[in-house]
Amino acid sequence: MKLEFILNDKPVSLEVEPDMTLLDLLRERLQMTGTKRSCGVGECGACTVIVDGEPVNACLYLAGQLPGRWVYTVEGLSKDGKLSALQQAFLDHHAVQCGFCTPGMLMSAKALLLKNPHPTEAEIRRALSGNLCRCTGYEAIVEAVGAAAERGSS
Amino acid sequence: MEFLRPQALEEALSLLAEHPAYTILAGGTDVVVRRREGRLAPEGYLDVTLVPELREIWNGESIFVGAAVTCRELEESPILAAVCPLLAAAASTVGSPQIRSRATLGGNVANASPAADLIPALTAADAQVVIQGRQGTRRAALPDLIQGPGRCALEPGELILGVVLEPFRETARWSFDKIGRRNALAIARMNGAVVLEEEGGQMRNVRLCVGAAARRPVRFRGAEALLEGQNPDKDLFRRAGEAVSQAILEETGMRESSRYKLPVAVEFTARLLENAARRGQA
Amino acid sequence: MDQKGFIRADVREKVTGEARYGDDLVFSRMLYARAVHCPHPRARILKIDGKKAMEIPGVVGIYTAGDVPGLNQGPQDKPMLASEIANSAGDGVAVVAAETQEAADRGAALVEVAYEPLPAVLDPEEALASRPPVVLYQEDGLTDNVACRHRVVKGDVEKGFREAEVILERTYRTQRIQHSAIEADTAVAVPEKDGITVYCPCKFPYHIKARVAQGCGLAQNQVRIVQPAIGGSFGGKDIDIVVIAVRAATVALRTGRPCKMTWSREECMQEGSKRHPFRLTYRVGAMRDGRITAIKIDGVADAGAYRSRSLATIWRAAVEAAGPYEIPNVETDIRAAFTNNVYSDAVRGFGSPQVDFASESLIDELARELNMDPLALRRRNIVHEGSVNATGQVLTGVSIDRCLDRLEELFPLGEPSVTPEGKLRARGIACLHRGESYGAAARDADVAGTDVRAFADGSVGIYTSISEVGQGTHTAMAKICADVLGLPLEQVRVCPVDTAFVPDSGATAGSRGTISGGNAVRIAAESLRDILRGAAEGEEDVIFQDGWLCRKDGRRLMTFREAVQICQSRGVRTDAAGQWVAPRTGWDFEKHQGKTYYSFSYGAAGAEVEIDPVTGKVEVLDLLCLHDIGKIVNYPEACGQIAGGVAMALGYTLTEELESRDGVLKNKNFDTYLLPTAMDIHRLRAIPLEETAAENPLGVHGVGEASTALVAPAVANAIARASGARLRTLPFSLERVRSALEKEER
Repeated sequence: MKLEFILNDKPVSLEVEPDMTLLDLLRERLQMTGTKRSCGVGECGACTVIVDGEPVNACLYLAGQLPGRWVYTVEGLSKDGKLSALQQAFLDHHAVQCGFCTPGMLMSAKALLLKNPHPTEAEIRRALSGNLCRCTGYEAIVEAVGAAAERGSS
Repeated sequence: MEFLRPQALEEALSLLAEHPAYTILAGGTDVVVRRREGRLAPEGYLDVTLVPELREIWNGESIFVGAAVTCRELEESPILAAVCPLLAAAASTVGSPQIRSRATLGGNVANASPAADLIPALTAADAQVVIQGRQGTRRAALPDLIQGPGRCALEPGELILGVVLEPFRETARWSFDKIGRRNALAIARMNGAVVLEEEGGQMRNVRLCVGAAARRPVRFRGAEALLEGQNPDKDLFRRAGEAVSQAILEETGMRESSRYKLPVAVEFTARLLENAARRGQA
Repeated sequence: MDQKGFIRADVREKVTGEARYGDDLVFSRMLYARAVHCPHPRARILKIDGKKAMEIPGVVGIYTAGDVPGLNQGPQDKPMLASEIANSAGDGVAVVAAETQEAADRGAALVEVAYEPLPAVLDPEEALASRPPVVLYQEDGLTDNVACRHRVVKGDVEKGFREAEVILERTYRTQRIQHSAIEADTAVAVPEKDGITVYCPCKFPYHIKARVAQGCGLAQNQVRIVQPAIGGSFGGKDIDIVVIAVRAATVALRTGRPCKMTWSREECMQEGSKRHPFRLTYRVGAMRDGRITAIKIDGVADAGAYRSRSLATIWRAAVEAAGPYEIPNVETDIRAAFTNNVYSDAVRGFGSPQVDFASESLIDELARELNMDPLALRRRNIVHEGSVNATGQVLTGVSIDRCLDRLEELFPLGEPSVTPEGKLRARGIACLHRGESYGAAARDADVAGTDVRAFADGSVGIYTSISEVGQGTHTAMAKICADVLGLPLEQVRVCPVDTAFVPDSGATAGSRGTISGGNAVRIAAESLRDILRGAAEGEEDVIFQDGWLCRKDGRRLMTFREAVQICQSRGVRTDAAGQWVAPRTGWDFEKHQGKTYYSFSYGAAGAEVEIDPVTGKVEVLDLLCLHDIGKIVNYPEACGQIAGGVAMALGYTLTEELESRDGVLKNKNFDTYLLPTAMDIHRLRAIPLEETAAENPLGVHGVGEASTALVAPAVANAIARASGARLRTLPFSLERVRSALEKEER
């Protein structure tokens, strides 16, 4: 099928098999490897991207459902080489260790802040609860998201 | 690989009639996983998420919730918050935020997992599943529709449109609870919902469903009968729990998990009832 | 103490998605590979038929053990591909290579393998019985299934028990768990004109290099290992990576094309190495005043089908099993059994989490028996400066007393309580000693080489094979180097790990990255500093600060860059090698005594639990974990190491368990193997301390692993204080907790 959708604010048009996952589409077809593959069954969140404002697991999203959607990936967070407030907060709060869960974490956090610019700690934990991290114990990540929210409001 | 995306109900039904073997797809959170595990090899897909009727929640005489409404939408729906907060509460315990963005009410019903989180809530809310085939629509209660794990009794060519349920009345008391091994991304070890009405301090129209305990959703009529017309009471709740536990044993026989589930069902049910009664006081 | 720390050099690319991990790499003409796995715990491979698989468009070849160019399997080692007999379910028996991953997957599903299932031994106790159903390695001359055994003997335990006024005997069991790095194991092998380059995440590049050379039948100078960004290790990414790398290399060498093999999550679960499950039986004798007179420990661990690093794991377990206590009479005997279960290997902490769960639970059980406060009983017995530990080693740099003081101050035990909803709350504590680095029984010498080079523009590169697996070690090394050379951190960079250029620094294991790697950097940087001083001829006492060479009074002589250029113009090399050689340790295998580790680190932890007596669900409301790490290089990252270890330990304590049926693992993915989520951790306080400088030039202790060992006993002790129920089997699942509470009620 011919697929047209918006990826990180830019229109994309390509020929794909409709039963290909969005994750394969990003990684294999578009060579955008920022979105990570880990469990393949929607249980780890490493492949989280935002589609039409909602966080989704790219490994469970079929290309056939993508036409006309707005997709954001980790590559869309920084603008002109400048880190977004959220990315900078992850650096400042030491929220990154191995970094493999980081793109997915960032996208879940971004989806939260789009809807809820002033989340409580409990809301942050809930928003990140579909993203497994083996390195950090989540503390630094939760702090970073909270700090980014505060920065966004100031 | 054909990937059909009907944009109207009529079109969906005729495509389904044409391709009865195609896999009906909504959020993909079950279909894509089963495909990966080799338990499903779709010949083609019929994506129902663009059918407007399936995407709606509306509040008329009854409430209708479309099959392709996502758990996120259930969770955040102002209509449900007002007239069936139980369903929103159950939806909020499903999987993770990413799963709730995609998983749908219809998928939860069609997959007929004994541990599904929406099913006890829908059962206790006395929801009727609206099913459309070429011949017309029919309605079925969940305990009649779901016949066992993964066995949803849909005829070829039938599509779940959604559910209808009665809005909760002012006097309605309810609760939902779920036991999971962790606090997110958890498959229910047990879940349950209760809806009742409080009239002059007495419980009426008690509807009780405990999930992940039997092979299919069941209303615990024995326990409901015990409670009917009675005043909320701790001992009574426990006796209702015992009735539930006994009914589960009768339904499933002794299994590996019974050692845990049977005694837990007693207290879990009692707590569901207490929470519902307490919600009334608040 | 500087608590602000500094931002790591590797994280910017990780938040933009630009960091390239192994599976992100693509090479021209690259093939993709998928393995075919044995479904039986033990089976003879009769026939492998790839005809149907070859019919799949895109499949280019099917490779079996006979195609592995070099050594396929050393004695009792995991084979690259099982040849005649597969010794555990999940073992790879063939590899399908194809133009796309999808074709490789479809091909692998169609390879037909005929097996003759053979009798298997799955229970380690049964494997060690006098007449086991199977002796796995008879052909290697083994007469039993003992994979390894370590003993510690001090004093006379029988005498100690005769003196004791109270004797307790308890058995504890720990489960099989998985590293669960979120990045799946992967390798890309690229054939070169005369050898091979393998791009792979790993924790010990020179080990991978040696084993890939062996497996490919190449000399070590023909094999180059390059590390991309690494998505976590946790003790893994070692032998599993060897296996994957050799499989990919086999395809690469046979086809002349690059080949990538990335394990699916299911393959990581089914074939990847695991933490050793243990059964530990403790017998302890004590006086009524709390003084412990004797302890006797008998343990059996499940090594699974292959030896891997069982030796180091069992050794550490045996050394640490008696806890951080000065006990006059000790006898420890721990054996690991070969079974047909999936093989065990090092997992963050080696044997510490297992024995610490047992010994620290036991101390609380003894406290209850003696009607003593758990903290007081610990204080009564802990080691002090100059104490002789269980292996006869005289201890120095002991700080456990202060760790306990801080714990008491920050986390008073208090009294158990019941919430209005009927939930049971209480706190529990635990403490530990932990041997540093490899220890005396290791096969590898505990040495680390590092080169430091200054370039003409004044920038400095560090060349090390200590691996950045996510812990921030490379930035710590850069900081150590920058401090010695008086340079801003930005001017120093750790170069990518590539065995073509970096010296062997040993394994990034045993929490030795900062101790061994950091000290090696320091030595190299000091040598380089001495060389550069030569640029300031005639000056004495030249110091390096703020990018300048200065006189002692601070007067600036020349910039660092100028010094480098002057040296280079004179033909002096501006690089230096550093070699850290760990202090000597030694073990007497006859007397079962010795200097086991050159130093120990100490820590303590507290957990507050809330138990739902209806469901058996345990919420850990508060976790406090403090570790004396001597000297902190980067405070927030040290906190991050502790917090991460604690979270991993929380999973070990509550939800993580690999279960098998008839020798086949039931857990296939993260839907049934349950890591903690952000909602399962409520409050976590990670506190690195600088109590006593460690006995190395930097004064640093390792920080990576100790935090994985204390959560389970602290939670067990909290549950016991809250409910009276004592849980002696990990994890504390809904069913186990509920069942223990029911027993307590009766």
